[in-house]
Amino acid sequence: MIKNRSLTSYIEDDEEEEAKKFIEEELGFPLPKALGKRLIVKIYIRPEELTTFVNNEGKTVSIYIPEIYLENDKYSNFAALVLSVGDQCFKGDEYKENGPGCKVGDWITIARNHGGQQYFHRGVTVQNIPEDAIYDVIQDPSYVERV
Amino acid sequence: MEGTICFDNKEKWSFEKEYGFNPPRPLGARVCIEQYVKSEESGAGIKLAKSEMSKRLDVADCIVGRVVKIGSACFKSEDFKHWDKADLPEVGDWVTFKITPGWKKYGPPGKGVCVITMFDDAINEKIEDPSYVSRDL
Repeated sequence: MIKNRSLTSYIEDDEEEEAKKFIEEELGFPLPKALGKRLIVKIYIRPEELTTFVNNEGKTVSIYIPEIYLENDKYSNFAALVLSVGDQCFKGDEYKENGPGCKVGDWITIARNHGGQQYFHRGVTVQNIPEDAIYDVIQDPSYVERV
Repeated sequence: MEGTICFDNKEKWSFEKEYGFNPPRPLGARVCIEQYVKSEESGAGIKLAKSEMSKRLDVADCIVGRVVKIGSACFKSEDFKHWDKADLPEVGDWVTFKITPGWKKYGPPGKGVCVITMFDDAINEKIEDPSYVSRDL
């Protein structure tokens, strides 16, 4: 039977190691390690290719998002992938019933102005955020758009 | 979403059933709320088309919405100790809340729903019908 000690995470307990390995393989380096009540998250940047279709002449056409928009994602997107969870995270009373709020491999939305620090880690845009900067866990980062 | 009255939660409403995808799962004492969108039709059945700008202002001004998902630590703090349990909002209830920034569109392309995640203490009250409330500047 599948078990999940968290009410909010999409990663089942037995998938945690697999998720870590998968992300490490995709990124090509070992995941950074967050300390205390902080997490390290990778900011979601939309894929360059927006859509592909076949036109009237039978040619396959791809539409790409201009680079400047993708650059902007680094500084405005608030969807992020959890790369590392500090060992003191989610130990407070408010997580008693919930279990860990999120696990490595979950997509979350974050408050961008809540004590987080953004930097490049091996060329990848990451933020080191406190646990209370997380709003919610989401199913898919492409679902989220700022209004 | 235009409102079916869900006061007292008589009929169990769920975001998944309504839209076909999972809502955001708020953490701790946070609540996820969906924006109440006023009908674009007048009482006489005339459709009043809204501009994009007007729709954006509606979001910024929004004080009414439906509870989509509740964090596990919601309504458990000292502030809610003396509240009647029946007054506490549940999923599907219409509520009013303090103006809060942070609205986002959530959902697959073309199916996005305006939602916001806020702390439980930003909620003011449960209401019977969202169309009864509008903001008085």
